[in-house]
Amino acid sequence: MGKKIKRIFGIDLGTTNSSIAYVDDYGKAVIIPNSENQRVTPSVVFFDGGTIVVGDVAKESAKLYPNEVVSFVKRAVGEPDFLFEYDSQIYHAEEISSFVLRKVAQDAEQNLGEKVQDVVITCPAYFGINEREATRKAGEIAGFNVRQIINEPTAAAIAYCAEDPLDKHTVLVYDLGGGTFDITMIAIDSDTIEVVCTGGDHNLGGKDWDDRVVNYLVQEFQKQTGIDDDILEDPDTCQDLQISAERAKKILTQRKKTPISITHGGQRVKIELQRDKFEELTQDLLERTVNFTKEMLSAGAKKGHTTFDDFILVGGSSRMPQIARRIQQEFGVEPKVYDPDGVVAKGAAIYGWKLALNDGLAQKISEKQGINIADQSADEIIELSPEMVIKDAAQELARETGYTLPAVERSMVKVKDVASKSFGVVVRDQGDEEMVYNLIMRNTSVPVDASKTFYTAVANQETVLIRIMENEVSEKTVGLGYTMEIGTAVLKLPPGLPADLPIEITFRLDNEGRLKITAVESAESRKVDVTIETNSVIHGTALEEAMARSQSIVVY
Amino acid sequence: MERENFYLLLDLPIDPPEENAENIQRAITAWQAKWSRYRNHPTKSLEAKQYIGMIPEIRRVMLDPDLRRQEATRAAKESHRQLAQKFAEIDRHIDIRMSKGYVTDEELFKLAKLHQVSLADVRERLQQKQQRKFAEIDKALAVRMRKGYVTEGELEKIARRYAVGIADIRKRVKGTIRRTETDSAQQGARTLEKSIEKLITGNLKIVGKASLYDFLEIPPSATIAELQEKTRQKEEQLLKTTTKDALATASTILVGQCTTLFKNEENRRSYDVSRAQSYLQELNSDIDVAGLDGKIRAEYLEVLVKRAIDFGMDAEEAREYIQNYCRQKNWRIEKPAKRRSFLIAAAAVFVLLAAAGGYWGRRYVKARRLEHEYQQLTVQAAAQPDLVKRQRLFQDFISSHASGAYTQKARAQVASITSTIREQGFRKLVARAEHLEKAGQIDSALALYRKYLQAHSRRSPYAGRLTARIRKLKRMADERDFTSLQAMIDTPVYERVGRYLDYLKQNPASSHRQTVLGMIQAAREEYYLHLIRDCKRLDRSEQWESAKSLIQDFLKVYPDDSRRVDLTEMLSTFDTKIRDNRMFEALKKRADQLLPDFKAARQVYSDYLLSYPDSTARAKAQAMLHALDLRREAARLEALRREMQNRLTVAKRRFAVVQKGVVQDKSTGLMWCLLDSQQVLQKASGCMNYAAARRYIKSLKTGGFSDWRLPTAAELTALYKKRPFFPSGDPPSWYWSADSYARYADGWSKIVDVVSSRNVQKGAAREIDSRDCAVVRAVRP
Repeated sequence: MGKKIKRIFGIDLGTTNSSIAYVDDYGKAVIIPNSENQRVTPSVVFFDGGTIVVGDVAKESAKLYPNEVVSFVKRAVGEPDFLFEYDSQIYHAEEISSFVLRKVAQDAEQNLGEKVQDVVITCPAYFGINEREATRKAGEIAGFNVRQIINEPTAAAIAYCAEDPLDKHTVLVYDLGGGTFDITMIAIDSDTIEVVCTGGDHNLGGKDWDDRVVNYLVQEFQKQTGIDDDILEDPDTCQDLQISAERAKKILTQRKKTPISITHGGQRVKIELQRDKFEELTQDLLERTVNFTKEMLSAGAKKGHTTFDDFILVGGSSRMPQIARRIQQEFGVEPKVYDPDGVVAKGAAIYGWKLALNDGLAQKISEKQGINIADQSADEIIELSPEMVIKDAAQELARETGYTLPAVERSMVKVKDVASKSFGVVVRDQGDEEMVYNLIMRNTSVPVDASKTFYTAVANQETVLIRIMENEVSEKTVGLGYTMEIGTAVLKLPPGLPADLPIEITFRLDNEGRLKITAVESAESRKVDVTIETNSVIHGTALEEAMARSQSIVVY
Repeated sequence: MERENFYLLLDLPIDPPEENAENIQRAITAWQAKWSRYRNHPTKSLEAKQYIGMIPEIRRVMLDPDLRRQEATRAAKESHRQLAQKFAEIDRHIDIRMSKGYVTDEELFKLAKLHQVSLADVRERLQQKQQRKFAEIDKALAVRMRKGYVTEGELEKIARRYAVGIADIRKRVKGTIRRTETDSAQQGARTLEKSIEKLITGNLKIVGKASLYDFLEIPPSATIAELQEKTRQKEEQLLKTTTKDALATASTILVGQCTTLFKNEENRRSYDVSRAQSYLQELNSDIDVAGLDGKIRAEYLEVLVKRAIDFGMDAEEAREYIQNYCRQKNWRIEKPAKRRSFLIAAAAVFVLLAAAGGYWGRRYVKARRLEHEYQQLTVQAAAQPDLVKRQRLFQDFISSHASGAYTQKARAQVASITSTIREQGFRKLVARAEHLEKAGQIDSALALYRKYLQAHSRRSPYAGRLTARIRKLKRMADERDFTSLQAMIDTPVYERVGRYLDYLKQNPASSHRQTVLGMIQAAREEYYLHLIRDCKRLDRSEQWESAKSLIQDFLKVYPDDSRRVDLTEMLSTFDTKIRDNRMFEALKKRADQLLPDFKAARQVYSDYLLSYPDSTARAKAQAMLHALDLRREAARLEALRREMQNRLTVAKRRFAVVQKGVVQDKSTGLMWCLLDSQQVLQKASGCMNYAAARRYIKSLKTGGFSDWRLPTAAELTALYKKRPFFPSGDPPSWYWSADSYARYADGWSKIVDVVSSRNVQKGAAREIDSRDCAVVRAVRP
């Protein structure tokens, strides 16, 4: 084994469980077990005096200390007013996520004896700009160099075709996690993995199935005891029921029925939950995923993908037997359950490995060609170089690193993602009504640039305020009501401009789903400063404090 | 949907309202943390999400003193209302407990605990209760509909009671009509899983809808296909919505439920049944109260049954329902006392015996009696001259006897009398109408016919004749109206055209239609001229709304006018003016509020002028600016005058203010301007050269006098240098006098005497060049 390339880890930061993976010395993606020797770590954080405990222990503690435990924090990511108060200290969702990240990374470090610095973190394809930024911030608070945020279904597809390289193939990834649901169509070819379109709901996941069971249990308890109190008011009972419900759900994937016992206020009730009952309680949730799938299929058809070859199920919740059955019934295919817990982290790790190899490859090429590596990105260097040079560089890299040549060559596979939302700006129409003009449409490939020309209203105008709106409509113009403001950008104009001067504003959505805005005023084609401001992501002093705290807090 | 009151939501004291911003801030943060904790609660998560989303609004309102005060007022009102509601419920519960004749202290205590009010409050309620009496209101249809459906049987019952056609009642029923009770709740379909029902109710509450039907905005009578289509539309609409707030999430969950529940008839029925049963929730809560001590007293049962009847059950159903409910709760229903049941049994035996004996005898007697009665009726009827009364006699017979051969005869009589009455009525009508027609009251005649036709439907045997007459009358009216139109040539053009249009509208089939249309066209230019003239007038008087409606009227009459573009432009100009003016009015209000801070008020207008340089209210704003300046100047001068007057009081033996701004020196009789040019014109030009001083004097109109002049040096000296002094300015200034000389030094120049206002007894005039500057104090005569 020769020279090592920089290791980039892949982390699946999930609603209920998280995991970390890396690519081993043989070019194979492997999940790194945690200190409890589990492949997944519950995304549960327990504030225990001065220390913070994450994972199984935290989850167990929830029963005893329900008010000191935070779970499902991913659902609140990007909500500016969510906060958790412990010991008169306020924590935002990003900071709590950072504890989970630190825990999985820490355990991996122990296991491998190697420092985790560079990471690729996954998020649901359905996440908007702010949620992505918040995920990145969580990584930064944890002290990582976040190389990229990639979509979970994309990661799943990468792992899927790394295992079994395929020619021209269309895959549907049905990702039902603990808190979110994503459905994605991905076209795989020998040298590209291209996301065709994506859809989903980030408030639909295994937790909703659990909650239905909890409600049912409360009802049964009331029926059997004649007590009408809302027993969920009691935090201990509430936690207990949630845990029982989750366990029952898991048991019902294997068995036809399961006994559950509820203890509350000195009363004890036994309930037998049948699988049929469970399916009846949650039928509408399943239907919603089917509707999303149909919707996505019709969007795919519009882009020329009328059929698909494989239907793969990802995410822990896709283990429920009724899901595969319903899909078989609706779409007439047998879905494959493909390592539901690990596939996303593995895909992220492979993607990270590819980034690292690309860096190495670019390094090699630039040495050969005499290009300054600082001028261009690794991708650009590889893109622009002659095939022979790349081949040579790849061989050399394979020799040095000990990876096989096909593995190195495969790392050159291009991954193309799509925008999961449309982006636009607020404009006024002829009737002086405010509306949103979409610059970037949902399901267009990223990176993408889109421009629109604005005009200064008065001479010597100093600033232009742009309201950036996110929405899910694939049309040029949308009513303001259907959209959500994700931030505002202020253009600071140079002094002395005349009125009615065209200013070209360009939106650029990069392959991570981050939005950048540039503007050029046409008089002297000067670049104009643009700053985007958003309140939905931790920022300012709150961010600095969280960063500083992160240094001193120990996570177990 | 009205939002929750933040004082109540944050559980802050209302009386007196919490005003301390720090406490409020702390409360908000505490709740924020609590809601965040509930963010993933199995049942409360959406509610928590909704509240978290409300936090910016809560901060905005609660941390602003004005908005907060309003909020506190509303909170007081709201909590009062809630209390009133709670007491209504307590009243009902007292009723139940009172039905046995007395209430024990313990019961009152339990009630107080149940409703979380003080025992004294419940006692007070009880007192009020005993003084009041029950009022019975018949609400048959409404009550029955509360179940969510009515049966055919119930409809028939109601129809009979109110003597209306069953079809009319059916039209009024908004919900489902079931053939019989058999396919209803009790024996029919499965009910919805309770937890699902709760979930639906909870989410409906968040979106502010009453039912899934209401949520889909479709009546409950819709077919399943319609429901599915609506669900699909709703889903599509939701997919477009980006903001995933609580409202959207709740809607998504509801759509999911709609998809499953409206998938087939069976699922839908289970939803309907559950919905109907939840109406009974109120009844259940009453039963719960009756069963507070684990059993239901016989007296309570009676009250509960009565209440259940109010809910649309019959007595038997009610008893059964209550019994079932109590069985579920494991409550015993006490039997009524022995003595009573014995009495009832005895009464029942008696009734049975009496019934059996009477049956056979009655049949024969009945037949004979009928024949006799009918004969009597016919005699009586023949003697009755009033047809209506005669008819009623037969009708009474029909309704009071079981149907048979005689009632049939009576029916035939009724029918023949009816047609006679109708014939008479019609003849009377024609006679009256013809009379009116002759008197020239064509419209009244027409109205008479129309009313008759309306009242007697088109199937009336006279309908044909009537329509012919109506047609003829219409033609006459048309002719008359047209003649009057032609005679209108001198009426103002708007009214005239308006009348033309009215005519066309009222007589759509008129033979003069083309002529009238031509008349309207002929009036076009006149109309336009008037319009333009009036618009200008209205524009000047700022009545743009009226101007707009004039133009709109014109465009309605002449939609194809070639000047349409100009007019539409005018419309939009007026719109702009209205908008600008509205903004200007707001500005003015704001500026007026800022007074007497002239500077701040001025800033308002000048900011406006800067930000809206093209505003049509520009001139007005400028005028306001000017007016403000004038007012500020006047205020400044007024202040100065007052100050001078004050300073003059020490010398009031010598000086008296005789008129605004004019002071008289009693020792010389001269009148002086109270203010000098320095004070009036301020620094910039108050000190002026001699030529300007002369011009200033000439233009001076103080006190209404126009004969102001420059004082002589001697007069000035007398003013300032003789006790008691006319107050000097600080610092003292030099004043021009009327004494001037020509002198030569490097060429000719003019020299003028000036006197200092320094209040010293010595000191004389000085000479300065007329091109230098000094101040003017005017004197007259």
